[in-house]
Amino acid sequence: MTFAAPWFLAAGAAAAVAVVALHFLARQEPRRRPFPTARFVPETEERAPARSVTLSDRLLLLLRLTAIALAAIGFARPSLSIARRGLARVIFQDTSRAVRDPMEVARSVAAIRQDGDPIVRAGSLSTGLIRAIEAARALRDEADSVSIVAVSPLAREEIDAATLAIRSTWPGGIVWTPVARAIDPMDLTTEVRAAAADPLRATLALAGITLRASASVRLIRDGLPTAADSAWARAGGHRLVDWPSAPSGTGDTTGAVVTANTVLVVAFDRPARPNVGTPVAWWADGEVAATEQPLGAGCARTVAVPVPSAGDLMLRERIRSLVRDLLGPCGGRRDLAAPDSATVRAFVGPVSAAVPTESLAPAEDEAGRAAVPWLLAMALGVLVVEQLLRRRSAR
Amino acid sequence: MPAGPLYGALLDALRGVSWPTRVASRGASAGTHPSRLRGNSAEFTEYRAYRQGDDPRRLDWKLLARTDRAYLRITDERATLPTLILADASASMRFGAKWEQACAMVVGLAAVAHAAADPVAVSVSGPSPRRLPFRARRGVVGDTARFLDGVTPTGAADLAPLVRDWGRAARVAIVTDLLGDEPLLLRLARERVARGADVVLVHIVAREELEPPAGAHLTFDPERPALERRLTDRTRDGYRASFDAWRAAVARGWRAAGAGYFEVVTDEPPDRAVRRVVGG
Repeated sequence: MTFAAPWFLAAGAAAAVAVVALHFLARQEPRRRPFPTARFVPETEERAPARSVTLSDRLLLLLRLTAIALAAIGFARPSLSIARRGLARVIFQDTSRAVRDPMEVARSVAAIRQDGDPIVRAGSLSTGLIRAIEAARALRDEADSVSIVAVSPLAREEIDAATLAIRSTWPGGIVWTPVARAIDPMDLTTEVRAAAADPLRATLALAGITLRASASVRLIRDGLPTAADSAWARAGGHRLVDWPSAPSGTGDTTGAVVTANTVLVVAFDRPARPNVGTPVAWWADGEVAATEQPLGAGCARTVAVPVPSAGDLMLRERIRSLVRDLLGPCGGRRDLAAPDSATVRAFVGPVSAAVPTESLAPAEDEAGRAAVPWLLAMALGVLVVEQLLRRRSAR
Repeated sequence: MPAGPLYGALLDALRGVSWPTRVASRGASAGTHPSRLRGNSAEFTEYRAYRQGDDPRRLDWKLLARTDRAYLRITDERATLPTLILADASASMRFGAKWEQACAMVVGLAAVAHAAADPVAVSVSGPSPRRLPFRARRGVVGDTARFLDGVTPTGAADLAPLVRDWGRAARVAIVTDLLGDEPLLLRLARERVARGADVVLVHIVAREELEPPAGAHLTFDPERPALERRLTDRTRDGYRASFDAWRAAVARGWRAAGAGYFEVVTDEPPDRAVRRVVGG
């Protein structure tokens, strides 16, 4: 147990010594008791000193010392800690989709970790860094120095605008233990279930998308997806795209459709809204034009964008980009490339990874802080009991 | 407080104990105590010459026939001894086991007196004094025990007002701690002894009064709460000396008055104390 304000303990000890001394020095009025032959006691003016401490006095002394001890411990703000170590490590275990094999990450963490090293798991590099730095500060009272170990593939898509700013708040280096990145799923080979004259076939051909029976994407234009289609997507991590060739119109028109990477400005006859799911495409007014739902390792998409059979819309460059977005990997396009060397250097930081814990700002000990009001309340309760006992003794 | 369980052992221990009086009784009813009256019982004492006015039925006719002289046959009479027991129920008797010991003494003395067919009366002092009249019938001892059960010592009650009950009593036993109206009580007792009564004082003393507790205490008289004294290690010896001297003076005074004086400490077995009192 450590104390944030240990001088209160010294003050409490001094107060306890003073109370004990007062109990020894105090000249107490003896207890009044009936004694029929009191008339034979010689009259004296002296006050009877109570040099011998009675039982009630001892109880009062015990209560007073208890109250002082509780108050001193409460004001000293105690915190519970385990035995102090030389070096402690906080291990950040990356659980994001940039990891190719989560088991490989777990094995790496198990190989690195020693007894007492906390593990921080997060699906975002920025979030993981924040948690790891907090955990490192919490080790201030348990170790002389602390370092952060990041077990992560460190893909480019994991580094957002805040990552390096968060990283800069940690004064030491970060030990980066790389693991394999996920394979880029930007495989757009597509199995099309559509009429031979479907204009979308031309778009797919112009977009350079290979059409074959065994593909990563199954595009269904005619008919409805079957249970076999869902099982195929779920088991293989594939994309099942339900893009009806003749969606029912609503009589409403809108001027554009937008995806994460494409804005296509065309006057569309807007069909009915797709099923519930995560939006991946929107109409110009913000209404959802396409949704995605996770399906096991893969996903299922529903697209409500009409495909005109007349005109040259399906031959334009923008429609090709839109099709790539709608057939793209689950969760959107990926960027699994390695970051540039400058970013890696900024992330890893100084050579020395261990940071002396004395230089870290203390983290608030929630358990110790929560105990303070209870300790003070107990001290107050003991004082109330002491007061009642003193009044009873006086009677 | 039922009489049986508490006083049973005491009454068993006192079975067969007698309480001879130290003075001749003036009673007329036949009893076990020597009487001042002379009569015609079988216990011969002396002959006396016949005088005019004597009852001729008391003449010793055989002696007259042999000697031709008229003599009366004088014999001692035996009479009962009405016994009054006064109990002090003032607040000072509530200290330690004084009241319990006093009750045991009253019951024990009543039992011994009742065993000799003496009428027994009990008076208890207090804010409203209570009294059991003279009775010699069966159940007197039980009545006495139940009577005492209903008494709680309180207040600064004096025993002197109970003197009016002494009228018929030939023997008076006073059970008290003498911390009330002792001088007045002694004067009245002296007068009663002079009139031929047998007065016995049972002085109840608590063991705690003889050996006061250690430490410092602010003591007060329960009958006079304003009287406060500090009993400390410094005053304890003075207290003992003063208390011992007072007890010795009291014993001398009562014995000088012709009364019997017996100090009974609360830790003395009651049957032994009663035997000591009645054995005189």
